Amino acid sequence: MLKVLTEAFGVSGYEAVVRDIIYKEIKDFCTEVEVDSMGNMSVFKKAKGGKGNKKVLLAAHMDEVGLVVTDITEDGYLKFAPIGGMDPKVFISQRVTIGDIKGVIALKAIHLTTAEERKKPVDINQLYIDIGAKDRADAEKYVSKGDYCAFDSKYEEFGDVIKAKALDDRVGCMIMIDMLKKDWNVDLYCNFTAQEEMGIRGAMVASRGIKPDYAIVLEGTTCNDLPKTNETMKVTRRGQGPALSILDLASKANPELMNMLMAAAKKYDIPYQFRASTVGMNDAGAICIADGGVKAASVSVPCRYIHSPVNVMSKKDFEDCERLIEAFLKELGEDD
Amino acid sequence: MTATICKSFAPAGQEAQMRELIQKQMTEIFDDVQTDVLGNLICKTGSSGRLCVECGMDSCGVMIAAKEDGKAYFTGVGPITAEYLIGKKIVFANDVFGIVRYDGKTPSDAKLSDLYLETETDKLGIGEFGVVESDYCESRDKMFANGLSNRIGIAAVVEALKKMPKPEDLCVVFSAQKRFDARGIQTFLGVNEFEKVITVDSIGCGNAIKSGRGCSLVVVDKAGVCDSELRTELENLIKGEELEAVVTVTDENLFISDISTAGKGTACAAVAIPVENKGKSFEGVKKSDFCAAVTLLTKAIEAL
Repeated sequence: MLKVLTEAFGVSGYEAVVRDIIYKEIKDFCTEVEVDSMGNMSVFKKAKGGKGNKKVLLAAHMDEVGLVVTDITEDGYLKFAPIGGMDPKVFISQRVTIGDIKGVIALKAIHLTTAEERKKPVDINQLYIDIGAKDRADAEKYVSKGDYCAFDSKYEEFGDVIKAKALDDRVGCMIMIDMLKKDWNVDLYCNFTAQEEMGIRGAMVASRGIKPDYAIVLEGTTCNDLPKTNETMKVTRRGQGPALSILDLASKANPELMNMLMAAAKKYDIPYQFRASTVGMNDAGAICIADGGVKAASVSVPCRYIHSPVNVMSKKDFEDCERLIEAFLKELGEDD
Repeated sequence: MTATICKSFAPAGQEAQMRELIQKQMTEIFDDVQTDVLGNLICKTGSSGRLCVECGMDSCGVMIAAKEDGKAYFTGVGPITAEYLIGKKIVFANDVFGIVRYDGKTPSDAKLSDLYLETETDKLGIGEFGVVESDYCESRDKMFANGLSNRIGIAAVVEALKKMPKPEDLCVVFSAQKRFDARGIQTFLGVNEFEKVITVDSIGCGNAIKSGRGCSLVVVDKAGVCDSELRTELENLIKGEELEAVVTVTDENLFISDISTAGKGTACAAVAIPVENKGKSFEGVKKSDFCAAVTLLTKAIEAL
């Protein structure tokens, strides 16, 4: 299922394909499903048992970073701009899809660059997408300005590792799907949100009106445990379990909820780590300020090279993240 | 009281100690004192939604991000610079402290990631929040402290409320996470409507803003403008009562825009206390400017 989810096209604002895949998977397991004008899919699953059921909101975003075609040159090449935060270095020599059309992101060959050009970082204006068109008229038969492009990257597994595009945040969607397939003694709300990569816009709309007792954002988060990296810049480490965020640019985790998550991890012997960086943001930023304030936290699977075509995560971290959410929901249900 | 407020531990998002301190003062003044999910301290008497006075409770600080070879590395909590932190004593909630070290030669080039804490690393966990020790002191007509700019507004609001008769219809919010884009007050105003909001803060002295001239009525800040009607009301009050306050324009963000646009929108004005050396070691505030802010707040609460 994660293969299907990650290979699907879902650049911010165009999440329909991903949403449909998810809907088909969860429709038989939930009480209500609603899609709003932003494209968020809000799912409710009534508690199976228990008394005075707690309301828990889980959230994960469906969208991924990508590109938008800004111009078509006379030669038939496509100029583009990023959708979401990306380093132009990751674009070079990548395969992309524009609907059914395939293309590659090209840069002038090294033989043709000057020594001076080679010293400078690549600017997005130097890059273009080659779809094999003869000229502008030929390109316009297949592509228009404003068309969205996604990276064309296959899901692969090797050892403990999964490589795919859009693990941020299809991994969160996958965990929510799995949670919806089980019964709980809590009223479970799952928001599959849109446009997270464009400034957590979907969650700003979808988070209102639920007023959950607790909210957990499920994410694929930065993992920068690379050689010669300053300790404070590693953020998370692959293989050390799900990451609990303490603070980012848009939210600070609720201490009560953090303690509950840590207690659940300890009880069920699940490893965890802290996301010890204040950079980045996610849907928790919108959720924590909704309706006068919500107790919110983020639990993430560390993913190396996020916002690129080759995200890499540990299967074990993914499994442990699922176990942690299960443990939390189970414990909360038993408290009732 | 200002000294006690300055010494309270309240990094953004962990304002409990400060909240407790203020709460003790406010329960004598207000009928209803509550804390919401984000940690805002909401003090209310009456419920007309006429006026809300707001002031951030939190201060900038650091968060432990990694420990290695007996050193603790950290990131910033709120806007805080590496140059300011070098050599400072950082205190933590569990009374552990650390000294910020920088092994480079040019402090102005330092980044937060270049700094580390010389501390008892075994007593500090990842994610632990710390703040620069205040070291509050007074000399003649001035107050000095590290982080005074984050605290002087609270002291002014508390002082004003203690000085005036018990209000009959007022809401005062000591907001949490102000250093994070005014998240606390924005959340509160998202579900509570008010005709007018006065936010109380500090403002750095510079070319146009001098200390010793009273407090500032900020009409334009980095991102927003004061409501024109509320501005007129406050300006008339200042003239009529001959208060020591000057109309001020600043490029600092006092969150006028964030507050004005929260919820269904509200009229907002900012009262600020000039702070010398803002953002650097031992910020200074003239007592006369502080008193001017207290008086303006007292009169404004009574008049509005």
